[in-house]
Amino acid sequence: MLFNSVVFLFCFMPLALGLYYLVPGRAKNAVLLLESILFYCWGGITWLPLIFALIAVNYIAGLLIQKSRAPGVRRAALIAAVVLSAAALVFFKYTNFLIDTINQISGAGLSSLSFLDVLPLGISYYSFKLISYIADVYTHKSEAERNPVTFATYVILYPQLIVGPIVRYRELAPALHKTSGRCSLRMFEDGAVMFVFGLAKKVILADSIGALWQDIISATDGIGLANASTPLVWLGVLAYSLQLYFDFAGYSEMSNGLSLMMGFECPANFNLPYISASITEFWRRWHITLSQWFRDYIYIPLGGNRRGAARQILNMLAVWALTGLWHGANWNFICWGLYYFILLVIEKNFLLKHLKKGRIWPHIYTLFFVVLGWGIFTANAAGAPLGLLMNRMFIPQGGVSALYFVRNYGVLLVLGCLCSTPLPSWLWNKTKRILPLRLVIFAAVSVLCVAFVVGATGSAALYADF
Amino acid sequence: MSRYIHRKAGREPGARSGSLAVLFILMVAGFSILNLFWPKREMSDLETRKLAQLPAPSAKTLLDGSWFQDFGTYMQDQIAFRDGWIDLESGFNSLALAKVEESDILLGKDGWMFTKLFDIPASSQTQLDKNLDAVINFASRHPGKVTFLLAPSASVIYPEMLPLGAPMADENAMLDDIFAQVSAAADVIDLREVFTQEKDRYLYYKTDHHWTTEGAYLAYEQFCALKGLTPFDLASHEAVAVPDFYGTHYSAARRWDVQPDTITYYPLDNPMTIYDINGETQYTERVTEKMVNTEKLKTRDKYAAFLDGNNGYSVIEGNGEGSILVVKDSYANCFVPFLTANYAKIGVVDLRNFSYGLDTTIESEGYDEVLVLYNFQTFISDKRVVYLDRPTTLTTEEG
Repeated sequence: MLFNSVVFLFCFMPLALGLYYLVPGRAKNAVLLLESILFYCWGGITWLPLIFALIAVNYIAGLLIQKSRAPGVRRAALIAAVVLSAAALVFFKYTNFLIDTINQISGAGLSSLSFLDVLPLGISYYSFKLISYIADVYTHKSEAERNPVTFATYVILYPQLIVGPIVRYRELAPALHKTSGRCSLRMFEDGAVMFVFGLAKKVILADSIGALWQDIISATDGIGLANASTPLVWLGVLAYSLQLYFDFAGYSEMSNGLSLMMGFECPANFNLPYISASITEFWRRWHITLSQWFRDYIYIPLGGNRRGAARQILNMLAVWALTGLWHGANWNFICWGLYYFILLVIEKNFLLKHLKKGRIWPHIYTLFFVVLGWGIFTANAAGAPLGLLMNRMFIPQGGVSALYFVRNYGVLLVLGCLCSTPLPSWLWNKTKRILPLRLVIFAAVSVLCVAFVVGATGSAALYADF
Repeated sequence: MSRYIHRKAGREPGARSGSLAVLFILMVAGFSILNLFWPKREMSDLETRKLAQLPAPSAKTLLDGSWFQDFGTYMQDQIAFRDGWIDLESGFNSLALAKVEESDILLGKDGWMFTKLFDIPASSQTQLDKNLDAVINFASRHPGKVTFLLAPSASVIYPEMLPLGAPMADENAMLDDIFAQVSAAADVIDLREVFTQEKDRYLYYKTDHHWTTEGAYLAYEQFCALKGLTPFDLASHEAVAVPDFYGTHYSAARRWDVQPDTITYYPLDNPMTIYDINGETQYTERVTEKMVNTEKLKTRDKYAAFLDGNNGYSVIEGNGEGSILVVKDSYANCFVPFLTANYAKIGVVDLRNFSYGLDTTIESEGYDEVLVLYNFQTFISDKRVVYLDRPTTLTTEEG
């Protein structure tokens, strides 16, 4: 079930939140768990046993690690839990990719597994949550959870089920253990505002702006990438970049808003990434919970920057290859990860100090490479093969002009660019003392969101596939 | 006044009053309850489609999630004020976001709306080639009998009404090619020149994808000129105008500043018999009525009044001589009535509801001439045009 659907907004959410507030503090986690299971079942129950098996394994392993004094047992429990969580992810996400690759190399002609065509809902996110939990228990950053209901609630938590964010157990544990005063009016209000503005980003901006790129590459009614002029292709990739940001950031804000309404303060997943003045900074502002996860559970355990420059570069290579691969079982995602590896190595070794002195050009430089990166990122989509895309972008050529698209999407694109800056939150803060204006803006944005939810046929979150 | 006092106290007045929270709860809970009791509809007139109904749960559909999916569609389709929400979205897109496109309809100047046709997909190109082959083969089997009339899209006649810079597919070049190919086997009628000359007249609906009765008459005049016929005398008939026609383009785009169209028809008494098709050349009468079903003029889908919609096979008694079979899409529906002035019997076949080859029907019903009448957009994508060329199933039975 998508947050941006009528059934969620006017059936699931009011009932789920209402019930959650009504039940006493001790029962809140159990109710939330049941609601999350129902939410999960929206996509069928096929893979429900899988998530429960992984929860059980990690729950037991957590307790074992906590209780045991023997380093051997602790280590074995850690390895077993991490390997099982990772193996589930790898098996469901990459088996067919591996089979394809083997077939291409050896011509073995292995048939792919059709039951793996649809990824188990949320596996990319909950497997990472599980790994972060067990690693934190092992390194004493977190206590093991004794209550299986509380633990299962953390893992399946419905706001974070489909597209994250990957919130660590230790960040949610205090609230999960509160049996009284978990929710407050302040949190509810902030959560509601965050939810509505997130919804607006998703349905008003992301979906509308994304139509431009589809006008170019769609097989049914697009003009075809091969027919597009160079300026139009750039406009299209720019639109795709904005769509991806508003889609994912909007969905993350809806998720965090819902969590906040229920008394869980979650870290922001995005912090205006397109205002960054370097690629390094960009990755501190884009999909923050994922970058942190890779830093804390891959990069630092591998030694980080403490074992010399060569080892550091190797560690970065591992992180970025995995980051690419995490986004999908496809070569373009791996290329996209390695592309960032190269940019980041260059920045770390000499560019960063020059970037710090610049004012305008670092922003232009960052945006250029980020937008180009999204071109590589989207190159697995039908209709946008990488070679053709690069050809169209970098060898100036004619074709369908950008005129119509500027005319049709111009206002949206300008609005999208403005909303990628601190301007909207600055304006919203300015209205703090003018309550009627706040109420009017809030109501208007809410009503508009519903109009867009009803008017659209309901588009999925781009990041739900990863 | 109070502002200053609060600022001195170092508090944030207003911001934490909880009014936003109350507003949010009122909006969500209030609308959810209203929605629960809102009357449910079978069908949406405005969208001309059936709306999803409450699905009946079963163990299977609950477990595989399909009940939940259907329930979501039901909620989406039956939401209170559905039409109003969609109008709001469309209006906001036009007015605030200055968009000139909505649901694959281009919002042109002066109330014009056009089908968004930026590219001919490869699948249509393949289909077009098949359809052309079918027409050419069919015409070659009936030399001298077949006329091919392909109506251009409104955007070809009124390109200046398109939104700025709209990169429409090159329909002109495709029409040139189509007419060049078909003219080797059949007479062709290319309307572009005369329609462009007469473009100040009301030739196409602004809110619908069809041509008007006036446009159809102009096409009919070209047909008469080609055949040496005297056209239907408009002066001796009184036209009936039905205002407030909101066509298919409007249904899709819901343009806020729509200019409704007017549908015109000529009341004629010629009987039209619609047949049920039981097998190849086997027809039984379903109903005999006038060519315009005036009941449908009272509904939203007014264009369906002509010939009472797209029926598989109908025969009209005319006042002229000889017979003609019209193989067509819906563009012919307001064109065919004029043929009563020239022919004694007019057969009408819509291949979308007619599953046999035509050779046997032409023979058994004794048609002297054939008119193939489509508009460009149907002709390039319709998968049933090829039935023109379908071999008969009867010979094997007889042999």
